[in-house]
Amino acid sequence: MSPFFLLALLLLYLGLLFLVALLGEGRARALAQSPQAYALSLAVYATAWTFFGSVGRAATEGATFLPIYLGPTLVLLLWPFLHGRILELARAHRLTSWADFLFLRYGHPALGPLIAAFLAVGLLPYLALQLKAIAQAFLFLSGQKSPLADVALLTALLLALFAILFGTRRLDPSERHQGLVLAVAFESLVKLLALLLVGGFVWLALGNPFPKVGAHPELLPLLLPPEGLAGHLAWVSLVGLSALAFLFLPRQFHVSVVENVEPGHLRLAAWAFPLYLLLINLPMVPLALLGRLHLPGENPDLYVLALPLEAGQPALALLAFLGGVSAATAMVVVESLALSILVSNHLLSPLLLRFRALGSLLLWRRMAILLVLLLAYLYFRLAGEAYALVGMGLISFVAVAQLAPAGLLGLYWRGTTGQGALAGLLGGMALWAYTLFLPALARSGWLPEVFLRGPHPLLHPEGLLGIEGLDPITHGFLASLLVNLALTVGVSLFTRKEAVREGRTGEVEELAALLRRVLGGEAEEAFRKQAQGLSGSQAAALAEALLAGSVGPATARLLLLPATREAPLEALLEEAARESREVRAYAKALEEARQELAEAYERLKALDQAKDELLAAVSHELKTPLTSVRALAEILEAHPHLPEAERQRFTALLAKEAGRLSRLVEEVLAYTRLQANPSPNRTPTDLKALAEEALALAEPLAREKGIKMEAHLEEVQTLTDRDRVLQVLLNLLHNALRHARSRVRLELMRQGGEVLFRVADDGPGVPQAARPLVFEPFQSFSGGTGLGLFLARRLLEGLGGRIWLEGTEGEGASFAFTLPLEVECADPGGGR
Amino acid sequence: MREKAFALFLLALFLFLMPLGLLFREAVGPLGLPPLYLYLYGAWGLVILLAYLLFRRA
Repeated sequence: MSPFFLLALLLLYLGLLFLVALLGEGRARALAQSPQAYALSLAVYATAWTFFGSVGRAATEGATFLPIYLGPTLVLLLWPFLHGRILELARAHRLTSWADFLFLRYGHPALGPLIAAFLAVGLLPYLALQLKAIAQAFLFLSGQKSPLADVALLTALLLALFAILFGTRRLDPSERHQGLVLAVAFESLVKLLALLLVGGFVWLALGNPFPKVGAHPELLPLLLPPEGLAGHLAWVSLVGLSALAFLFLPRQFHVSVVENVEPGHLRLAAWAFPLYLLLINLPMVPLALLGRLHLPGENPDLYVLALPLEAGQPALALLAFLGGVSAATAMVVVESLALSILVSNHLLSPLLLRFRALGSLLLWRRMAILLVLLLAYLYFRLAGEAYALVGMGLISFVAVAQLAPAGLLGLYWRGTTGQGALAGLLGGMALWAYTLFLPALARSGWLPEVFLRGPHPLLHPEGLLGIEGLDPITHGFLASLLVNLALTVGVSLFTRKEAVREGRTGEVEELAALLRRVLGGEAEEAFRKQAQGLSGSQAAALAEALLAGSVGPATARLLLLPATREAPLEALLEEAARESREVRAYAKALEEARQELAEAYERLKALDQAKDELLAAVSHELKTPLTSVRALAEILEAHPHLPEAERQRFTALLAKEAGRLSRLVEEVLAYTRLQANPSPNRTPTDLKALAEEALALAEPLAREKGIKMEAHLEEVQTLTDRDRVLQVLLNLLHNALRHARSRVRLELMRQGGEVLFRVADDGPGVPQAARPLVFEPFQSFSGGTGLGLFLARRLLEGLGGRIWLEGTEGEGASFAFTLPLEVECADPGGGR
Repeated sequence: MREKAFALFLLALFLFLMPLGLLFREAVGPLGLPPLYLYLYGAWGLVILLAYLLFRRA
């Protein structure tokens, strides 16, 4: 293919990338902030190493390419524990990298610069690998030997421009870059589609490779798992290594934490991103086998490009080229941006502050991006095909994994100290360099061979303590991480935890002026808004977080020194007292809620007990007449020839007991209706007419008993529940008729703001001992059901009235009750 | 949800890290496809499906 055509295609693709990023910052901002874009942006994990290298690895080493993608799947399943906590911390302190977190967590001034320098060294070859992938693909398709390097340089410069334009518009790197995220998400889609289409078309064109494997025994090991204990250990190590790399790679922290606009997006990412990895890995094995079958002499890393050409599909080869370019460019842009932030926050900022040139930090950050990419390009030019470049992917992963002990223990173990973290990191880094980095340089011929053998057989860099059989990556990973972890834990156990940093306080005006000087007017305005109502120490903490997001936590702390002072003891005490007051108020509210709950429980318990008692009483009261009815009926049945007078006496008793039973059931039903519908239905009611109606209803019983009914009724109207008042009147009248000797009197009159009813009889009256119990359920003293007065009291309480017993023993009984007048809007509040 | 996520993590850990060399001794299996890859992609797909069922609710 024409190199100019390829170059034009490459430039066109990069132009499209700029356009997508511009859209992300403009009209497609909502799309860039969507959970789908977030999940796709995580796929910056899949680099050119995935796109070209996984097929190559599958074609030479079999299934060991897969653990690199199983690790991230495992990590994302733990997002509620890991990412949830990291996001919370990142928002509070405006973290931009793990180095920021480690500095804030441990406060050790050496940690930030150490990590920044180490990651720059560890990841530079990885960046160079991406540039090499683009150049190699270009060279392969154009069929030329040059201008390989020039294409890589041009690409590096364009990507640096992209990262500067869309990643460093402002000084605050903790701000979101929607354009960058959308471009990365777009590239993730391109590489996935490209690889799936290449896999599908090549399969169709060259046929299913699996049946052909049987005729090529040399390919069978590619379809089998790694052999033996060493093979399994390598598999497990690769899963663990990729999991840690996914968590600690600077570019992954950038897209998953810094660019996260909503923690809830992790719900989608937790399954969508592993699905993405599964899909992108589906064509790997068929492509690897087809490559081995059809292109035995070809470089396996180029099968993705060579197979479409072999299948007679040059357009597909172009698509594969663009897929590889998209995988490499996304990684280069985000990684160089993340590294430049790391370097500028932890290495450049303190230097610039010392030389009073912090105002030029943004320019230096942009220069850092350019510098990182130019260094990567230089490394690629120097290393070429050397092992120090081609074998560097996993070595970089092991470098990044050195942050894990300090990072994870710092998140979950309070006992980790700054000295422990530093010792662990130094030990891990030293072992990484000794077992992996220096041998890689020696293997490339840049260092003497002694770095491959070691000074003593027990100190062999790729077999410490005489260990044999492990591949160098597994060995280096396990050795460095174990030493790192042991030192972090061990030193932490033997060093004292640092005292809590002294609190600082400051005036909002002074802090705002500092923010204006360092970050500009916009930051000052944002600070003033957020600082309203905050105490001096809280405002100082807020200013520190804002500064830390832009210039790094160490520089922010130094910048704050002249604008703040140590929080005086009184201020600390005041703060502690305020927090203590809040805690006390909270505890008081909790205690009140507990008391309310306890009271509600007691009420419920009492109601439950009352219900049980009522049930027992009802059963008992029903049993007595039922027993009588049964006994009488049995007597009548057993003695058919009873004298007529006797028979009539028994029949009358039967009728009486049945009547009593019927009344009891009716009153129980009235009681259950009252319980079921406790709120009264108030309507304007003529109480005199109501009283006359009650008298009329009671008249037949009075006539039967020969009792005279008297009434003294005034004209009264009120809002009340007509049916309930009628029920009360009937209960009282029937009660009076049951006890009266010759006369029952009903009175109705106004009394103040109430209506007074009185029902009096000339019976024997209520015995003194029974008076407190007359309104309790089933307390009958004359053969009644014992529910009438109880119901009357409950009904009246529901209507806002009250009832009481008048008169003395031996002078007849008189029950009086009141009802409120004019109660249209008020809740009587009597119902229980 | 946290407990279920942790349980799913343990399941995935078991599925991904079990000693595959003891289970898959044949390179070619049903339909001429390699059993090792059928298992690995199947287990991976199962974990993703379970993660989808667990995390899908907003």
